[in-house]
Amino acid sequence: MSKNTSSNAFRRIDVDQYDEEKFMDDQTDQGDTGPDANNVNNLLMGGKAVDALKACLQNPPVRTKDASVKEKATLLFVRVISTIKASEISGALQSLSVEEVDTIMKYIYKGFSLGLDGQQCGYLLSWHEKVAAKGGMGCIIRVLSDRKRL
Amino acid sequence: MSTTLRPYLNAVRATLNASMCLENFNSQVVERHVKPEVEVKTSKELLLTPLVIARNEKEKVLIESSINSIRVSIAVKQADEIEQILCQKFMRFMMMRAENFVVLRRKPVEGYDISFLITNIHTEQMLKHKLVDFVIHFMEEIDKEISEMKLSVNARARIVAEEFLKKF
Repeated sequence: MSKNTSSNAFRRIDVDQYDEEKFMDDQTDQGDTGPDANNVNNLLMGGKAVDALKACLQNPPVRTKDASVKEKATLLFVRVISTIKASEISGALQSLSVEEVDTIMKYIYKGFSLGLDGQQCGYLLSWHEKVAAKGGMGCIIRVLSDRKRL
Repeated sequence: MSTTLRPYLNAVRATLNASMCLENFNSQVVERHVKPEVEVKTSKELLLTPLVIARNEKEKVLIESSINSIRVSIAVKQADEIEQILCQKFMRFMMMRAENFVVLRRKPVEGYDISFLITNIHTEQMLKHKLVDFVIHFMEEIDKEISEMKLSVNARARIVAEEFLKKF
């Protein structure tokens, strides 16, 4: 026989968590530390902005759960692209691989979400245009669907 | 048109084009139901990375996509109090009539002024590039509309004040 009870706590149990086919995000925290800020700074001081960009794209902190690391890497990226002149963007993009272009796109979208001021957003917007022209729709879709988020 | 509006709209257009790739998808929880996954968020595997495109701190667009629906939320420029009030009233006016706009959501996502919810039904019934055009056109017009309204409110206030102060 069922028993009358005034408790309704059982209604709040998430029964779907016992579903064997439930999707589990298999991204683990690998503790990525992001690009080497000192190296990037040195390259920027030496006036090698394009090399600094490449150094910045090495080992993006996508496999860490620490938001501050991601934010720091993104701010570093924004600083690097703000030193590259608008006329040099296309040239800088020519030498990059597909993966690096995807990483740039990830950084650009992450940069937008940080609530930067109008000038920095302006840099990001002009880069977005050039990167989208080079990588096509594919690089935006890869940012959308990649589980390794920035 | 200011210099950054064009690249801003282009970036939004490119992102919308890429993300508007929807198909029918039955709910995994309730049988014979179809729900917009971006709203119910039942499973992480059906959701894509939400993307933000910003022009400055205030003006931004949030594009959240999922397998069968995307949600586009727009934050409109509000430089002063009049613009804030006008924007609020105007958005309220439209959202009360959301049925007539088909893709309009009745409530905006938190932190934004207006939201559109586009599902696979909409992309089947309407042309995809026209939907993208509509969102872009809306963003272009809303700024114009609000600054126009602000001008007319100010002009009207001036006339009213003149009439009123004639007595003294």
